[in-house]
Amino acid sequence: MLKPTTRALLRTASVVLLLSLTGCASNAAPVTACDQLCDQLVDECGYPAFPDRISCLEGCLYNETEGADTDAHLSCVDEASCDTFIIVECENQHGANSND
Amino acid sequence: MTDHLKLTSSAVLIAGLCLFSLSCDSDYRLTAARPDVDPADVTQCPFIPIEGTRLSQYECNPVFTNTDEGWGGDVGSVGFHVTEVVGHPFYQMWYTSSPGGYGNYGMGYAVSADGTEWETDPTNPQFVSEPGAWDQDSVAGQVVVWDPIESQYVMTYQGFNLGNQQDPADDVWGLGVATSADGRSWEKHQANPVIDFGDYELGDDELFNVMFLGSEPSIKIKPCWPLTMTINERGAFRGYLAASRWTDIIDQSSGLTDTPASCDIYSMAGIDAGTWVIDDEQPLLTGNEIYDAKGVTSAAVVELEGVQYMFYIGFEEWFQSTGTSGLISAQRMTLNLATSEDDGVTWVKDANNPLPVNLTEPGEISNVGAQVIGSRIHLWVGDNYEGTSAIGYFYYEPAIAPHEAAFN
Repeated sequence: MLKPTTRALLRTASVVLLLSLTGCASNAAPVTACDQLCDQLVDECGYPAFPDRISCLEGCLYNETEGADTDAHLSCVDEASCDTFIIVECENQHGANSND
Repeated sequence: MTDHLKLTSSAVLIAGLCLFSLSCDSDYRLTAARPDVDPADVTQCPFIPIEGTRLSQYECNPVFTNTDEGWGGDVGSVGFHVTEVVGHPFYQMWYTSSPGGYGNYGMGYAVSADGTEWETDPTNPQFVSEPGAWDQDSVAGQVVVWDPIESQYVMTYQGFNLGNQQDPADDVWGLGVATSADGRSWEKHQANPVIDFGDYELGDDELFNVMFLGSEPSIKIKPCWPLTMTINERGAFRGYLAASRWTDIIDQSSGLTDTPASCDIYSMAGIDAGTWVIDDEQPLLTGNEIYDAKGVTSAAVVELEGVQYMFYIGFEEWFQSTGTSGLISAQRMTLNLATSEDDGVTWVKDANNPLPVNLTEPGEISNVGAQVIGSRIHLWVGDNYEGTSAIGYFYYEPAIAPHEAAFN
């Protein structure tokens, strides 16, 4: 039989743990266009240009600060179906240096 | 609840909140950062530093040899470009190939996500020799840039038509321009050749007057071949070509010197892709060293941190071939570097020239391409790999000290 103090502590710890889990869940970044773009480029197409997914995400966020239209870029990459020749042109059309 | 218990519970609560804060931290650690990927992190083989230089070479060179596509043969002239897909380099290469001889060439296109494994376009060749065209016998020295204003690739190249292949008088040589929205479908400029090298010839009467009456030639230079071009973010073109002074050519013709005049580097401004003006007053770079005594055959210019870097193929000697139109060609070729810190007005040759990358002695380096990616300048160098023309992959790091000798 646990002592009342121990039970109280366990209850508090449980609340904290639950709070942590739900807090993380509710505060996790929503799935963004950058997430989806990197899903395609890194996971789906497996391009070695990206050393890891984080590098892709950082590059995508950087492109957004430079004016890239990530939603349009994502749509183009989706349609490219990992055709590298088209993927390159998606960047020209919708990336940081495009006229979009 | 006792005070002690309240205190302990509060401590657990605070510790938990700290844990919560840390556990969620990873969701917010990403920053908008321009990637600067170490090429060795994405390639199968490592890059090996070249002692005494800021260069490193890919251990598994060459990275591109023969197309194996059912057309052409070994890779000929090569033009490179890099498109950074969400900040990560995807490499593009346009290459000529021919079963042999003049004419009958095609232009291939390939892409790579790491610079070493190349995927050739199944629709190759993208364009081929057109009988009767001014460039029917050769397209070479192609350089490709992306024009962000017109949203198209622009390719410049040297083309020629040797006519009857016996008499140089019916030859056509010049600078050609082609554009493409997707790198595949190319449209040649209607004003091609946009620089007709024939416009820089002196007539027989004027030659006589210059040689025997001492008058000044009305045209200062005679183009040898185009070298490279660049474009800035505002869409302004700048080109470079190799050319000889007419006074030097006449000295050689008069027997005052016994070798052809050197092909020095001159700049030219592109009003647009089809309109170029050569600055023929002064060469940007002259062949006053042994390694570039006779001139320059290929060059690539890039800018990084306010400094312009020109990697160029210098050559020591002319080679007179017998046969087709009496063509002469370069030999004893090496890779060299010059830099400019005043926007390309003055250039300083690197003290460590020539850069020790040539595979044969004497050197047979055929062309060089360069692109800035992050803090490095990526280089592709055509050379003789055991009897086959192929492309090696290197990079140059301006910010580091030259590599020291490796200790065993």
